[in-house]
Amino acid sequence: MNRLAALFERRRAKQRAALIGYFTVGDPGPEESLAILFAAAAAGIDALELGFPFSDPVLDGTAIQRAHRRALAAGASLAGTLTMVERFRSRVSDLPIVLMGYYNPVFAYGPQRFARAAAAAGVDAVILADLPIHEAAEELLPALADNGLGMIPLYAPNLEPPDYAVSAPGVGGFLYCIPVLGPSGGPPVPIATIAREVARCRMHTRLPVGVGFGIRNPESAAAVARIADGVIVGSALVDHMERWVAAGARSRTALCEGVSTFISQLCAAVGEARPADFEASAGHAPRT
Amino acid sequence: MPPSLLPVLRRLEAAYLEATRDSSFDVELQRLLGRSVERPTPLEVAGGMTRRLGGATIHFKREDQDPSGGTFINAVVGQSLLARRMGYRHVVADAGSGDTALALAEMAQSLGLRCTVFMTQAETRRRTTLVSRMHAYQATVHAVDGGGTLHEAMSAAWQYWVANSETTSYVAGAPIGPHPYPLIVRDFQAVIGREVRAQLLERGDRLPQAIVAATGGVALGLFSAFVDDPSVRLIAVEGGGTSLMPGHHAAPLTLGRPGVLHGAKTSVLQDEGGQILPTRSVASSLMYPGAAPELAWWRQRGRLETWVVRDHQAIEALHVACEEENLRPSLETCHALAAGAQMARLLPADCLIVIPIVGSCDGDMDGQRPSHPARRQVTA
Repeated sequence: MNRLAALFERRRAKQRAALIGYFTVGDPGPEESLAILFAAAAAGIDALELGFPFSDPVLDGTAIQRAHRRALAAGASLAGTLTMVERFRSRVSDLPIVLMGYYNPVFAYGPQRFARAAAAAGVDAVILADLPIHEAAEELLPALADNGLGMIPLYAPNLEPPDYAVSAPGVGGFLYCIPVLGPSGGPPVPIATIAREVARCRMHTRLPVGVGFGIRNPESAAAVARIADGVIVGSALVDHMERWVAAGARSRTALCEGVSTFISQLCAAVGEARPADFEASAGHAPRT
Repeated sequence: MPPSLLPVLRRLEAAYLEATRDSSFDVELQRLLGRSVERPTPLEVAGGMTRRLGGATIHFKREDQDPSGGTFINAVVGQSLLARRMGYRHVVADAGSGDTALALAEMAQSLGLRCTVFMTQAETRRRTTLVSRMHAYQATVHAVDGGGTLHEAMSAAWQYWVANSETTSYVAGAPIGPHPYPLIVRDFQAVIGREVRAQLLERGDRLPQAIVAATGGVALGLFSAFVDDPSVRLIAVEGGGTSLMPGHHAAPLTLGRPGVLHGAKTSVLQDEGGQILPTRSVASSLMYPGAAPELAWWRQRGRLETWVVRDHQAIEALHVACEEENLRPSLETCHALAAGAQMARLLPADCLIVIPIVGSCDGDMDGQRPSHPARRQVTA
C-alpha cells in the first residue's frame, strides 16, 4: 500500500499519471513471465498488476482468458504467483505490485494466510474481479488491513456510491474505474465517456482513480492520462505473449524486447500528457 | 460475482419478490405453463420396475410430458415472464444441456422477447436438431470456441449479460449462480413437490420413505415440499462419470470442497489451489462443478443424502426403463433411476419411493459414437 500511495503522491507532484501494466503471471511460461516483469520495470512502468491464473476467468475477454489458460498449462498457481513476486522483489524493491484475480484461489488458500503470504512476498494491494467489496468485509478486509495491504474497489457505471466508495480498513490503493460494462479487451471507449465516469468517481472517493479496459495504444493511453491518475493497460500487453507463442516461441529476448518497446512508447505518451491538455481534447474520441 | 452485476441482481430480487405478491403474475404464469404441459403432471406407480426389483413401490413423477423437454420449463417460463414484467426486451442463456435454451427460445418468442443463446461449438455440432429448432423460434445461437476454457458457454453468456444488462436479463436453467437465481429457480420448480405431496395424500398414501432425484432444479423443487418432514429421506444423485478420480466425475455435493464459483458460495470441485476441475458425465446436464447452494446447505445440515452413480450404471438404468416401463428418460434421470432401484431392492413392499422422470434421452444420444453401448442397444 505504501509503495502505491507513494507512487501516486510522486506522480501527482509531477502532474502526470501512473502507467500500470497487467500481466498474467506464468504466461507464456514461468521463466518468460519473470523476464518480462523485469523488462517492464526496466522500460519504466510505474506499477505492475499481476494476474494470478484461474480456470474460469468469467469477466475477462478472450485474450486474457487464453493467457490464464497458457499460464495454467505451464503450471502457474496463486502460490506460484507469490513465489514469482518474491523473486521479482529480490531485484526490484520499490515498484508497486497489485495482485489481480478471482476469489476462489484466495478462498482456497485461506484469506488470512493469503494476506500474510502476499505481504511477505512484497505485494501492495489486491483486486478481486468477482468479489464485491461488501462481501470481503467479514474475513478478507481485516486480514488485508492487518498486513498493511489494501483491496482496490472496482467502479462500473451502473454502481451506486456505497458499492465502490467504501472507506474501511483494508480498502485502498486506488479506485479502479471500468468506464463501460463488459469484459476486458473490448473496443476503445470514447474519451468523453471516460471523462464523465472519472468525474463521477472523483465525486465520491478521495482515492486516486485508475482507468482500465479498452486502452490499446500510446494515443489512447495519453488521452486517459490527461484525466485519470492511473492508466491501466492489459489486453494489449497480453497480446504480445500470444503473438510470440503463435510465431513459434522464438527467443525470450525477442519477447522481452517487444514488450519493452511497447511499454517505452506508452510511458512516453503518458509522461507527455499533462492534465491541462485535456481541455483541448475533451469530447473527442482518442486517435486510434 | 462481478460488482457490476450487484445493481442488476438487486433489481431482479426486488422485482421477483414483488411479482410473487401479485396474483395476476401467478395467473399469467399458470396460463403459460398450461399451454406447454398440463398440470398437475401424473404421479404413476412404476409397476414393471417395482415387480422386477421386488422391494419398495416406485412412483414416477412424470415431468417428461411436454415437447420441449420438461426439465426446465417451469423455471424458464417464470423467468421469461419476470423479464418481460421488468421491461427487458431480450433474454440470454447458456445451453449446458440445450433443453433449457430450447424452452427459453420458445417462450421468448411467444412473449415477444429476443433470445440469445451461447453454446459450445462442440455442442452445436453434436446437437444440430436442437440448434435448428432454436433458430425456428428466431433465437440467435452463438457457438463459443473457448478452446477448452471450462464452462465457456456460461462465461460467454455472462459476459454478454454484463455488457448488456440494461436491456437483457439472464435466465438460469439450474439453481446455481448468484442470489437470487437459486431461489427463483427453486420457487418456480417447487410446484413439482407440492403436487407430489397433494397427489399422495389424495389417494390415501403415506409420505414416501425416500425421494430420489438427480441434482438440479427439479430435485430442489421436489425436495423443498418435504424438507420439513424428517421421515422422508431426500437423496440427491450425482454423476459419477467414469471414475471418482478428480476430473472424471460430476459430483460436487459429494466430493467437492467449499468454494466460490459464479457468484455462489457452495461445494465446488476444485484442486488444492482453488482451480475449478473439469467435470465428466454421460449426462451433459449434470456437468457443472458447483452444487446448488441450497442442496449443499441441506447436506451440510445432514438433511440431504447424496449418491454417486457412474455412467455405466445410468446407462444400465436406461435399459431397464426401456424394458420395464417403455420410457426413454434423459440420462440425468437415469442416474436417479439407478440409485432408486438400488434403494427399492433394500426396502419392504409397503415402502414408497418417488423418482421424477425428466426429459428424454434423445439429446443425450445425439452425436454419440455408434460404438457407444447405449446407442447400440437402444436403437436395436
